Amino acid sequence: MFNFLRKFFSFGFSKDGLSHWIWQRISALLMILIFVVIVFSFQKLPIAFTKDFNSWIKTPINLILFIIFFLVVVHHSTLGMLNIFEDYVQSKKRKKIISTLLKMISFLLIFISVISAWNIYSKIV
Amino acid sequence: MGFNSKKNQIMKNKNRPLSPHLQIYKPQITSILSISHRFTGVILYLSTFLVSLWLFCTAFNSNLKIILNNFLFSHLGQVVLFFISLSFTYHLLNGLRHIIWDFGYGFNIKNVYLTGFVIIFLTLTINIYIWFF
Repeated sequence: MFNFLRKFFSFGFSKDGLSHWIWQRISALLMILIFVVIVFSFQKLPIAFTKDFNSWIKTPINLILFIIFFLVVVHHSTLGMLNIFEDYVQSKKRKKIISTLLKMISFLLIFISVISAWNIYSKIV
Repeated sequence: MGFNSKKNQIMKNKNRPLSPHLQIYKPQITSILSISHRFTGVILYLSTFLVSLWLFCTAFNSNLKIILNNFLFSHLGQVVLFFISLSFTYHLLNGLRHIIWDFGYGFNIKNVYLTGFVIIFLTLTINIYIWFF
């Protein structure tokens, strides 16, 4: 049981295939759910996207929703990319380097996006 | 003999055969849709860079934001956005198909073909509606 939990809370990044598979599905379902909520909340706004995004994200619940959505998107896509490298890169050493790089890039993407979203939220217009 | 088998073992571990042999696999609707799912996934991962850049520009650099917006509204930018939305729609619909498979439904070949064609039709219809109406 403890072993299962340890694998589960690696969020799919351990070498265990089942944990990877489960988290890929969990993140996919979460993404669909949040995407539907975002689409419905966006429909309340007029059409000019750039301007309206700034006003949309100024609501705390939308900011939280957006950050969670972005986190889940990057998590899902990082797992997917790792899967592709697992299948197409032969050398174990190269695979390790690429997967470490990929995780770093994904972390950077999340960091930049969250900081930027927070900045837009806290900006006084 | 012993040396050779040891060497073979090492060779086996280092150059193990990789699963999707794309060059020799016969193109069929099933294989094409499967590789398209991966390909659109890669496009979507790359497009998160664009989203991140757009957010960064919106938050910190208004000049860069104007340049980026001008690019996105240019013909090339619109083509890029079109392919991103095409990839997004396809990946979303095919992902739903995968989840239905995970629950154990739709595995027979007739249903696999049928849902495959439905997904292609829906992807095209949704994108034509978004971009041209």
